[in-house]
Amino acid sequence: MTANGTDITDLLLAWRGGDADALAELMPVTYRSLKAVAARLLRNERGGQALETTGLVHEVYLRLADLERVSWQDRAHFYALSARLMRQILVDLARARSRLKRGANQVVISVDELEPKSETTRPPDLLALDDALRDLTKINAEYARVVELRFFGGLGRNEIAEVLGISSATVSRRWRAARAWLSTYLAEGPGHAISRF
Amino acid sequence: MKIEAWEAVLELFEQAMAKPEPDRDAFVQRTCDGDPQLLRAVRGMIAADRQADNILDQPLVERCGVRATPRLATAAVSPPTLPSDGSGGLPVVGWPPRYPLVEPDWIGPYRIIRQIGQGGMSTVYLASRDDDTYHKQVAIKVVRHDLEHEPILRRLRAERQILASLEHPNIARLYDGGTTDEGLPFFVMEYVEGEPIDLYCDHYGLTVDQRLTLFHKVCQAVHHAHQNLVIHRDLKPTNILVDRSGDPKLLDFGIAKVLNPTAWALDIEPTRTVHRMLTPSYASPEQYRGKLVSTAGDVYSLGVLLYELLTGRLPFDFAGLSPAEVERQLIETEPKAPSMAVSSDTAASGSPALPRSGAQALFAGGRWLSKTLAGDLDAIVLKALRSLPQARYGSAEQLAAEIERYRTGLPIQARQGSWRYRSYKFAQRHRALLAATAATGLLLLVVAITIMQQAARVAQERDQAQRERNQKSAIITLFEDLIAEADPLRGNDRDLTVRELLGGSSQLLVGRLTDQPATRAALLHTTGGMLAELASLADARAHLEEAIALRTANLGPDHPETAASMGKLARVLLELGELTEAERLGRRSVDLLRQRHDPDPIALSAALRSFALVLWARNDLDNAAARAREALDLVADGQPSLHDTARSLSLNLLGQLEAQRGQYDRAAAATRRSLAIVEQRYGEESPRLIPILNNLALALRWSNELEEAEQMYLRARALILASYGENHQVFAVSSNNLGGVRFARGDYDGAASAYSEARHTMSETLGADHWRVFFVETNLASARIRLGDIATAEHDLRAGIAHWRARLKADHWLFAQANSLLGEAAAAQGRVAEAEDLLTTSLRRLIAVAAKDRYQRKALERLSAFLTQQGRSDEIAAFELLLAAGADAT
Repeated sequence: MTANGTDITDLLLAWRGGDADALAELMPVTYRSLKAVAARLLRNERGGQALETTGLVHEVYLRLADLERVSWQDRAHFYALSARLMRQILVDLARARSRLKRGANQVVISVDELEPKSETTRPPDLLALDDALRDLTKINAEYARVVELRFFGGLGRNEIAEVLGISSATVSRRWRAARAWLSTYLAEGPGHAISRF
Repeated sequence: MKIEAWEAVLELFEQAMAKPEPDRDAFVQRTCDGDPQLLRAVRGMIAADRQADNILDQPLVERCGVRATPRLATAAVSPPTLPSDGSGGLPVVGWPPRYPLVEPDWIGPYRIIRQIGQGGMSTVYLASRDDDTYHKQVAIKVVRHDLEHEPILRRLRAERQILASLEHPNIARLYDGGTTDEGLPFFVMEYVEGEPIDLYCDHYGLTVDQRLTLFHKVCQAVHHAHQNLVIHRDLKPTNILVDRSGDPKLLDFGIAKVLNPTAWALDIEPTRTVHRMLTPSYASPEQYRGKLVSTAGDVYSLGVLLYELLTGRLPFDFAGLSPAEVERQLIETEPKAPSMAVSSDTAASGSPALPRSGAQALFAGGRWLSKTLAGDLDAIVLKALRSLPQARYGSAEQLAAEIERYRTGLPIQARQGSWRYRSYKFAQRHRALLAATAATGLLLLVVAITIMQQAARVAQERDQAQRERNQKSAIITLFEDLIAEADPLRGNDRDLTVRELLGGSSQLLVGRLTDQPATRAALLHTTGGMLAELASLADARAHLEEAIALRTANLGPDHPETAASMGKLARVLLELGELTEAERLGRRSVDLLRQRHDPDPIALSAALRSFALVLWARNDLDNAAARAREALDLVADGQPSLHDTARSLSLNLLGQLEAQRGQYDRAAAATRRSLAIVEQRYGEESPRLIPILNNLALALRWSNELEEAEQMYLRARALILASYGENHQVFAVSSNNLGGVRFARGDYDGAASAYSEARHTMSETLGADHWRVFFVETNLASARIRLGDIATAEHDLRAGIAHWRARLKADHWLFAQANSLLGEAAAAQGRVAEAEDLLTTSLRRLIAVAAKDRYQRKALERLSAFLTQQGRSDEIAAFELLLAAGADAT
């Protein structure tokens, strides 16, 4: 695996420069990096070590790109890409977990295990959310992108605005609408929300 | 539903969210008319929006302790350098996780000893700072809130000095503050060992009188903070601890402000976050709605506390209610009187009761307690809990004084008349007078509104609660004095005009409030603006100049309030014809306000409007329109209703400017929006609509929408008659304009009747010698000529020329206008030679004196009609050239 920073940076610059093929290369490389980070996180968790949040963020950071060479806009798009990949990884993990629950004899990683103890937040049903986001994408992709960047990427409002090329105010409006829409969708199920496409 | 339908749902939801909460449902119903599926979907989303526990609210990556991406903003400035050992210490703080993962050992320079409290939003630690010389225990409150920490730090820096200087034996000191490594805000406070006040009272079985004594101390502490310009915003028992010696200590003063929710990135509407931040049971109705927070909000919270201390329960039971229902209950209902609350059987078992073991002593004897509370204490508590802020006690001190009066057996004030009540009484006594001087009534209303806006602005901008209250009461006192002067029973047996009333204000202001320059400046600023409206320009100037001088000395030359006064003065100077100075001040006012890191949109919008007026006077219409548009953008949309007035004023101005630039469609569109805002806010009968309707009608007239223009004039006319009466300049101007539209529509009869009304009122109000009377006479004559009443028209025109010959300069364009009309009359009577002479010389004259383009055009039309009639239409082109050349020359 050649997922060192420079490779990714070059791919990123090429992609931004209009080389569509670069994206095809960039995705798997980035994906592997992110997944490696997640795996390390889980090893530490099982080994009984305290979670080192900052270390992990640091890790993703270091592995992914030589950020000094990348312009802000490039970074923005890179983060957007990371957010999408993060969604994939986490949804994959959730899917694996649900297979385990059904009795498959597999070693899988639980998303719940990753969570800090918290009495007040319930774990989201990632698979349902992922489905909901797919439907939202069909309605209007921009709303789904805002959710993806915020929820899976942890981007802030201005960052999202930069990535999507819309104003921060629009990000807020989209977020609020998407949040409410997803909430009704998840509560009432796809049967209500989007049936007869 | 189809994809398109869902897209419409999302869009409609966004539009609904841009409306104020109370209007939302009506808007959705209206828009979804006839589409129950759409209605249901949007309503479902609005309900979901209110729910706080949306799983999306915490980014997943943070739940997992992973942030996929570093922060952009920080990275953009300087790519962070990472420690090579990989041992954390990441310099870029990510999106702060809501929950710290591990208990910290250190926060800043403070060593954590143990956790001593945990609330919904915060964790409190006991900590110490171990210096060589210095060993002190403190409490550190870490707020778990994913607010962006930059603005918090900025506000903390801004507030720290004030908060740190807040010294009072009953207020816990704030020493320090900052953000933790995870980016969570923390506050370092005096460590207080004690019990929340409600538990303390019950624990020690305090009597009513002992509870009042304790509460009195709390009020005084709150008042002390208010005097130091700090509002608590989150007063509740857990923030008021009583120590072993029985003294209360108030915690968390001013912290709510530092955490001011408006900065939160993705949670959109301030009110939503407010819901999350404050403690609903103790929050005032205005706070609950996310409105301005003032000292009155703290007074309300004190009222809730007193209610609870005296009855053992809360005034309202919000259990299971939605935010909208809570709001409705807060505003529409009055809590049960404390005496009723403790006596009623249902309340004893009702849910708002807070049954506590130690409370038995006091609350068990319901009947006896009820008797104690009935009357004065009921009145005191309920007054503190009024839903209208101005109906509560004016300050925490007044509430304290009231408690003291009760304890010492003096009559309390809660049961006496208020200022509102007295002025209501005044109005009742002098109905006839007020009706007779309808204009006075209207202006007093405008005065009152202006003052309220001013006060609200002051409050919003600086949150200097005490000052606001002082200024409000100073302004109210001033106007009470003014009304007293106007009261005929006091010896003045004639009606005062508003001008005299305000002129009186100059007298009353002499030597008043010289020890309170800020308040005096605010008064001068307000009255100066009103005098300008009344065209008392010299007085207005004097007031505003003094306001600027006071504010410059007091607040500094660059302060936004100084700038605001400059903006007002610019308008006055503009009226006085001092264009250069007006432009300088207008520009400076705009620059100063713009320079501010976080400019107040309302103030800047007003300054931009003033500046646009100056530019208009300079005939720089493009720039003027650009400034007006900027003024509008500042308050454009999705903003609180506080911006409505600024928005409608900006749109109205923009409309006028577009009309001046000949963009009548745009002018009409902007003015229509202005109209809609004012209608929605003040109703369709509001006198504020008058100038807007007039401007709209003008724009419509010039874009040839004559029928609608006439309707607008007729609407304006009804409003004018209702608020000014027919003997007022405004009525005259409006009637004249109405005549113009009717003339253009060919309704010469209607035009003549409108013009003659205008003429009558004009000469009554301006005097028979004013040039405008002549102007209206020429209009009237033009309508009469079309009606065939040529003899009267000619007679009036000749008489007019003779009359004004002695009063106006010889080359006044109205003489030429009158001669042109005489030409038309002569032509109608077949006096060809005379007609030709009059029509041609008057047209040349109008061109020579550069009369307004449209009067030149009309004169040309008359001449053209005459020439066509004579079969000489080939001569028209020459005059058209003449007119075009003249227009170029000017």
